[in-house]
Amino acid sequence: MHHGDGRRTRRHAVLGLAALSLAGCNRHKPPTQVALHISSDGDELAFKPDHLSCPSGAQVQLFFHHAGQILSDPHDWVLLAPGHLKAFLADADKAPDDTVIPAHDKAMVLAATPLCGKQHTVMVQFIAPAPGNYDFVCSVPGHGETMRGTLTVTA
Amino acid sequence: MPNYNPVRMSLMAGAALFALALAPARAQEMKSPQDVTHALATFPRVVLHTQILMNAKNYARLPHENGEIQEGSEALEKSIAGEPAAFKAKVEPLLKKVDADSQSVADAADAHDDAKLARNHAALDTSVKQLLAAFPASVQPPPPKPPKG
Repeated sequence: MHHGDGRRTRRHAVLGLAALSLAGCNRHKPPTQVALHISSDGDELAFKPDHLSCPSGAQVQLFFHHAGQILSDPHDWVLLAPGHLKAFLADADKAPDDTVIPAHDKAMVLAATPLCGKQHTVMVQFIAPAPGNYDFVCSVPGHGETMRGTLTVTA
Repeated sequence: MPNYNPVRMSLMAGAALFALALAPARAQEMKSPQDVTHALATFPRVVLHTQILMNAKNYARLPHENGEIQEGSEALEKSIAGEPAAFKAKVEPLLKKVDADSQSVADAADAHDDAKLARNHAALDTSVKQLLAAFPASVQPPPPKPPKG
């Protein structure tokens, strides 16, 4: 066997290992980090903007700001599992206070900020779910009828 | 001896006529128009939100809406503080009527009386419209965003 053949074999082996190692790096690539910002539309019962997007699997930090000037009603930002908008709002609209999402509705919720007072900002972290469109609402009784929007999760 | 220069007299008469023509427009201007619009917007918004809670028969939550009317009233009073006394005297009783009608809605909610709630809510809606009508077109707020269905 020529020395040159041995060197070539070793070089191929090293290149192969490097390729495998890079592939391994890709598999363990840290998830994309995304910061989303949303607020109430002043004292209007609406989100601004009412449409957000992020890639699936991203580590999302969502910041919600209560931009009210006059009305001190709190708000929150609640991301719902698909198909639960009507059921969730039916319960939320009947809730006697605005402090708690009912225990039997928690399965409908993918992520939620704490309640946020006027001129304050709150944050929630979550992993973006599978691609698709997801409703988000304010869970304070009656607010979700107008204060809602869509999170588009891309592939 | 007074100066009766005809050119000067004509200019003065023209200026006086111009000032008279502007007077009604000036009367429609408000000192803090954005604050007034913002405060006025809270009333129809709360009327709509109250209707949503009535539809859900959320009697426990309805009196809370009365607190929001009070917040709107305070903001409106503050926003018109610098207006002429005559204007404030016109607005004050209308605002008091809104406050009273809002209290009546809260009282009917406490009593779980649906028929009375509907009547009192209709009265509140009317008094809010009368309050808004007392303000010039330039400060009228946009209607509240309707439910998305």
